[in-house]
Amino acid sequence: MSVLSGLNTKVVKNGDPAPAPPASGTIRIYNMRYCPWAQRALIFASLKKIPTEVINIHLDQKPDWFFTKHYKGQVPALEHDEGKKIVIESAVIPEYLDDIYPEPRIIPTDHYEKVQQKLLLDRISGQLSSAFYGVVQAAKISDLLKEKLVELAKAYDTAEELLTGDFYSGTSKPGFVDYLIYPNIQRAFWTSHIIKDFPLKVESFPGPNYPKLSKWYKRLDSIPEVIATSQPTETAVEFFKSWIIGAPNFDYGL
Amino acid sequence: MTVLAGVNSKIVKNGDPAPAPPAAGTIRIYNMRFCPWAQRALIYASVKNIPSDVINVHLQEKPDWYFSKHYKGQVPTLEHDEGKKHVIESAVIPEYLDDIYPETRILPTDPYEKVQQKLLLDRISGQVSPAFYGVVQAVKNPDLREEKFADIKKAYDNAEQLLTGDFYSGTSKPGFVDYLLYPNIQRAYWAAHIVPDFPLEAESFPGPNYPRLSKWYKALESIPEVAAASQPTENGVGFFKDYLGGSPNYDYGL
Repeated sequence: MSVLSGLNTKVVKNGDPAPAPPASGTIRIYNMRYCPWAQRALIFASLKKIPTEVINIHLDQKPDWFFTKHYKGQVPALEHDEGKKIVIESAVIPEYLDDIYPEPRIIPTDHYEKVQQKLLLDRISGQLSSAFYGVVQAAKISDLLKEKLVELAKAYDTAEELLTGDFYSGTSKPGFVDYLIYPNIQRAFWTSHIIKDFPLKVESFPGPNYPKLSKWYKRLDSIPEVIATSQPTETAVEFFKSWIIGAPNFDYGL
Repeated sequence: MTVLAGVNSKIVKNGDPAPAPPAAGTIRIYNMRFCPWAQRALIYASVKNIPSDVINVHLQEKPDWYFSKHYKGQVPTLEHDEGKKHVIESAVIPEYLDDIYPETRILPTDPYEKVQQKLLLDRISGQVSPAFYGVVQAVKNPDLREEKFADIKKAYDNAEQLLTGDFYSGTSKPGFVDYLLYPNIQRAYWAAHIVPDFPLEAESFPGPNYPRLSKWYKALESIPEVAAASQPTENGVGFFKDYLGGSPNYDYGL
């Protein structure tokens, strides 16, 4: 039983009325089902078993009222305390959730270990996500594609190198970095079904060049609380096709 | 008496030997005297009265050993616990210093208030800094001037609007956002002495269009612990002229 109520509801868009504040004891996450940044917040809420109401936002036709939740109109936004408190930014929300719902805590309490996890996330995610979006943009401008695919392979080389154990947490269980980096890597998995000559392989993703990452991905992909926040591969691949050509269908599969 | 030993020592560069680890009870900050990002760490150490050993690094001829402190060879880097611990990133180091030296805490302890300060810094700095570096580009490429001057004006309009009281901390004393934002605004002050027709004025900087920010800047500039982490205007302006000309003199004024 997932704590994420409303995860697979249709998007709200411009003209739709503002929702009532979230109920006491419930957090709300403004989301888009295929957004890797918003999924970070969903994963944390799922693992921490926080009763959560999810509202999906149409990212091209945002409701005017949504800009009172996030000044740039982006997802995720976290709303809680009966609507009185709003937190944004995909790497900030999980840390905040660990602060206000300290059991179970995912980020280390030791100050140095905590800061190293945050820095490791910045380092890996900064490379992976910009390389990935570089490929997505280049998919439309094929002159650049070869260059961007090289950058993607390089980013995954670094991610493989920095994975010194089973997980980036440095322990026998996944942690902050693992959960927050997973969505963007999943997006690359989806894309490997679509783009020709993609350096990451669908089979045992990301493939034989990345033995540690392949094991890592398989493990993360198998965690029920992570699965509860994810979209199935077949649906996601179709969404990504629509997104890459510039006509995203935010309700794909519903 | 400043706690920042060595803040005005000459830079180390490629070929110079690695320093001995910092002494117990002392933190070390790898710095460049005119770097606004490194100055964030210096200000925090100064305001918190942490005994600090400052080593200035030549940013174009970095010592090879420096890449074992920071994988990109950037400043600032914090080194402590007799050299066993390293922390990087200009907005991460201050938060970490508040964690390990909690008696002089600057960030709020309340999780929501704390997270709002971090988000506010990201928001303002995310506009003010790129707008400033845009102006730096425009100095070299005059075709960009109109666009980049409009950007910096807009960024400062926004910074003025978000300053709803005396300080961004929302209290009667400066806080995290104020201290971390100050260095980049000081750089714009230096630039106001150099760049013709700059939209921010050197007189009562940033000028009559920004009444609250002008008071704010004057208040921050007058804090002894902030002044101890700063370079005097004449040196700052002199360095920046060289920097804009493409030949930075990292030891300017020594």
